[in-house]
Amino acid sequence: MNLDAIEKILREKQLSLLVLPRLNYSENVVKIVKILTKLSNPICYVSANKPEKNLIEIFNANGIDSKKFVIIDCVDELPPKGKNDRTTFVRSPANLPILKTAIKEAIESGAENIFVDAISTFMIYEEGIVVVRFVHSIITMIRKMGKKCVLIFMDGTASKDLLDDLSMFVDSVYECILVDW
Amino acid sequence: MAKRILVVDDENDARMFVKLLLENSGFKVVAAPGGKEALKILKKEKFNLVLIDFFMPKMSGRVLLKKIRADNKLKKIKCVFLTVADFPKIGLDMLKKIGISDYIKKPFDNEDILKRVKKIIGN
Repeated sequence: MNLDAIEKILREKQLSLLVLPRLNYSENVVKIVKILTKLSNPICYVSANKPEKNLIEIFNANGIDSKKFVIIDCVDELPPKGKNDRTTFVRSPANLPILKTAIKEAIESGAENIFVDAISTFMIYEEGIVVVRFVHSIITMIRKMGKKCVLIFMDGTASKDLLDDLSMFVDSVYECILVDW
Repeated sequence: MAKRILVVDDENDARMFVKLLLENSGFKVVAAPGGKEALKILKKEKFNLVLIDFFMPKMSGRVLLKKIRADNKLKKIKCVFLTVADFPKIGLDMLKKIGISDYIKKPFDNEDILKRVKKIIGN
């Protein structure tokens, strides 16, 4: 399995769960995001690991056009002053109801694909089953609205049981192992 | 003799609703608020069927089922999920693989619950 296999999944499946190793995690996310930008735009990038500012720096450093994204920043507790049309600040990964509303608004404003980096991070802030319930609820909404979604799960950050619970609601689960890269 | 059913759901209203509905139809029903309590009861008493809420805190329904299937004395017991969830193909395959007999959608439809339970364990 390799990036071609991931591209095939992202192209064909409406809801995908990708399990990434912790080693070189950020680099691998960039590779996946590059694939995604070829497939559908705009993309709603839900960031639970990096603030918007860092994310845009990473996009720029890797030749990814940040204008193709609407960003939901769940990290920055004190967002910068001034309005930014393309970013919504949720302020904490624990704000799941606000996050759901932000995703809905992103879809209504045109986002074709929701990219969640990483669903496993939310499990640090909330009990696992609360996150599983949340995922089921956003997945139901995304299906109804006819859009696509990619959930990233960082291997080793939450239990295998929670990964199995999440797996029941998506169309495809792909576990990337180190030799893939 | 009345068939025995264990209902496992962390939501009190849902648990009591299903308990009363099944008792009124002649089943003997015991209720548990979570997976840990359910396992204790299952080790002491025999049941024909276990109805398990999927989205339970502390121990999800799938994990409870996994523990039931891993116990030699309990592994053959029939189990059904109670859930608001719609499962895509991958989820349905997993249900089959972990030995779930059926799943009942929430919010509950009285006739649907009774029909499905009777289909699995009889009257």
